[in-house]
Amino acid sequence: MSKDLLEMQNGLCYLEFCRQVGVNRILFKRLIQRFPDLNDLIQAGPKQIAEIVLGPPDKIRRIYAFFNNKRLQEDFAQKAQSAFELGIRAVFYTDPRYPGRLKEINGCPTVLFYRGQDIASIFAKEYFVTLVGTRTPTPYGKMVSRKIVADLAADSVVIISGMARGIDAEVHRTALREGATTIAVIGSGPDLVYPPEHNDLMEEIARTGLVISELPPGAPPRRQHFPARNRILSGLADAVAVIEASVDSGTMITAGFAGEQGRDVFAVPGSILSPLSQGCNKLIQEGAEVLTSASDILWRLPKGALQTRIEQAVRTAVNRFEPEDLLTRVINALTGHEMTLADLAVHVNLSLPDIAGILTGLEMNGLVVCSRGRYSLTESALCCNNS
Amino acid sequence: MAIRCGSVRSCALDGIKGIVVDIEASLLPGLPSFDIVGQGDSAIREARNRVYAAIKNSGYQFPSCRITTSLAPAWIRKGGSGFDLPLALAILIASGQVRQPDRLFCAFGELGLTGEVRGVPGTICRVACCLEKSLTPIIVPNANASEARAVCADGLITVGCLRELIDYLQSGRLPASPSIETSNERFPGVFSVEPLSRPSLALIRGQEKAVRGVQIACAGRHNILLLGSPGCGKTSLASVLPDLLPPLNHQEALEVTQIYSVSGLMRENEGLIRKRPFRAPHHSISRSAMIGGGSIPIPGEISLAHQGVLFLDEMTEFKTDVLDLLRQPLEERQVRLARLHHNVTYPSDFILIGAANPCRCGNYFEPDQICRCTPDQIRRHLRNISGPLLDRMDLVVEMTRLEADILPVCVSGRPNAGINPEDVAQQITACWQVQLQRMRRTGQHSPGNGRQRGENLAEHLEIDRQMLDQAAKMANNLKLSVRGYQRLLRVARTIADLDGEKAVQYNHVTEAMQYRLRLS
Ligand SMILES: [Zn+2]
Repeated sequence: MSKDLLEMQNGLCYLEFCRQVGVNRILFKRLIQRFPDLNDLIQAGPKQIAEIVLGPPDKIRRIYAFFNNKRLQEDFAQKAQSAFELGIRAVFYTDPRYPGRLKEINGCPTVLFYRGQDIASIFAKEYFVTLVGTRTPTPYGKMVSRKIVADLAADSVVIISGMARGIDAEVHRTALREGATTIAVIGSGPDLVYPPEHNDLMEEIARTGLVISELPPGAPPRRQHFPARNRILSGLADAVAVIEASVDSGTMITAGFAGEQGRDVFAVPGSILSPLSQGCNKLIQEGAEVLTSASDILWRLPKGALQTRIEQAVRTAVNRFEPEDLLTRVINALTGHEMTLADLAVHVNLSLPDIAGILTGLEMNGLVVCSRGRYSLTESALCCNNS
Repeated sequence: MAIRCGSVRSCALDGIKGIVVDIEASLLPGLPSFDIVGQGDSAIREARNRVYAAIKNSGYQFPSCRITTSLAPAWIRKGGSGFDLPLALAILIASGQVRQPDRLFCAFGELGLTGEVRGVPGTICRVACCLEKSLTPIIVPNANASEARAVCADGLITVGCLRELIDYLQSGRLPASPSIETSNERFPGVFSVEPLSRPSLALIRGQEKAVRGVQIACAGRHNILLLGSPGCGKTSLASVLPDLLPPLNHQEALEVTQIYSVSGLMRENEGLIRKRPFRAPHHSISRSAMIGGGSIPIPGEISLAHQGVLFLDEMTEFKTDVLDLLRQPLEERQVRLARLHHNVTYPSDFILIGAANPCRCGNYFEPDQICRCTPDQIRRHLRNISGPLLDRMDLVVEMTRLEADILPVCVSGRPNAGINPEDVAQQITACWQVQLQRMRRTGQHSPGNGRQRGENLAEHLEIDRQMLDQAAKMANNLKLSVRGYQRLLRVARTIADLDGEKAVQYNHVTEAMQYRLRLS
């Protein structure tokens, strides 16, 4: 039996285990660590289980009965097999492939089901931004999503959304069009599509990105699933942006989770007369960042997304040098000084064309300005440099 | 009574082209008079007095009867003193003192009162025209011999006085041609100093960005604007330019020489002009001096700068209407001067170098000086140069006054180790070659990325789709206008050419970006 198939079977088993025996992640973890193959667990007697599980004999019996329910286990194996054939995989939170950001949050799902590309390589990417919004956007909302997503995509940020109607769909479609990786976090089993008209969209997302759910294959979309789903939406990302939302929408729940999870929350300001901007405006009132362009987000991404981006720009501009070293030299030279291009070239010992190229990169990223014939650092660069 | 007529061929000027003119003289009975018909200007009316004196003083009779001379075709306006010689000759033939020569020839030249033949403007254009019409021999004043020889090897007869010419026509005896040293070393420009004593590129220190900018401007024939306080070296930098440009090729040299010849700016014994012109008119210049003018239009500064450099120092001080006149020539590379009956077109294909202070007091770029201009004044300052003209400045370089500690190095004359003017010039020449090859593919015949315009810009510059998109993103990021984006592409192309790269690459675009116009 392949490892993936086994994971799937374990996943299904775990969810049923929670239902019958009670949610106990630690317990289940200890069990599957001891018996990686469920068949071994089935072979094991209550005694061996008792060695692992310290609890009343009643509980041990229930566990033993659960694992020895042949019909149940066969059912898992069969379900796992058919889900596997649909391309659905499962990943446990103990697995190194499990998204690291999600692990940080309170009540992260123990097992995730997903469809699409290799989960490890997708989550090896650097930056993740969740963009969500109303299911009934205004033209403004749609335009904003297209613009922001396109700009984020240009900087190879992975775009996450909820595959709902409206803004979510717009976000996914733009990301796909711009060739960005996109992840849909859905409120049903990964084999079901909701809303149904997004069938093609889901297939397309799976072709280059991921469709993720904490619900097992076959789980129907239920109203009560969606709020819980929203904690994954925000948990997977470095930052959450709300494009348009009314005050009491699910989107606001996502923003609330994002706040709790310590994610940066961005909101697109809108008309005070539009009900669909009231959610965003309220978020801004409560301290969310104002989102006016993609760079507002890029600035706040951890590990200096911008820094990396500049380094990349510099790398292409001056491939002969070590970009990190160069940047420090340029930034250091400019710290506290205004310099002409010629002075700077002498200071960092570069040819004029090279230094000109680097400065353009820095300028484009808002780190350097040129005024009155001299280059100097912007305030944001100074912050960047001090931190 | 026998008809007493004489006719001689000569050549008039229409722009820099020559037009063959028949000069006829007819002696008629009546009270003595001397009329010239055929749209001549005042110089031609005065020719009567010169011709009269010259004929008398050369030992001939001036016929005492009613003399009518005509310059045909009559529809074209003719000017200058070049018809003195043929007029005198026609009168002498008509009066029977000189036999009507049996072969065609063409003559022009001004007559002195003693009968000597003096040089006239536009000789090279007239000679070229006669050659085209196979109208030889061509009689040319001695003073214009060098110029004429530049386009014509045989069939030239140079004469010093009226008698010499008549001797030749009657007996076939060639006049003793004076030995003439042809010189073409002159710098056709406003410099009274010779090129050698002008600063060399290597001696310009501390303005590396500007030097690089000028280098790019030369390499791609881009217009460039130098911004900086007074005394930061804008003028000396600009004056280095002609040294960096490749020498004129034969065709270009012909055009330049023709323009200078028509303007009467050729010196004695000057042959083809080989060096590129550098013109630096003062900001008080009039409209007609800038683009050309007069009832018979003569070339203005923009044509005198043809194939070379037009340097406008204190550009913001020029009258706005004068600067606006530059727009059409900058697009079309020639200037059309409309006159009542016909238009004259002069070529005017030049690199425009503008220099301006960054603000009215000039201290805006200097941190240790006080600039008393208000932000609004600073914003408006460059607007003196109209937007459309600013749009045609591909490169903008900010220059700051040098720190005191670099100055001794500049004065010491120790050359800048990094810059060898000959290398730079060579690089630029190579760059022009590359551009010429590329431009031939799109049906153009002279190099210059700086003159590529319009919708097919990317195609002409051979920049691939992917790089265009990247450049567009950059332009978007730094808020360039559409024209700004086009300027960026042109400059990036030249930087790539200087680099010897076939394809424009990312670093070329990022460098080009630093030469954009930043309006404060
Ligand atoms: Zn000022």
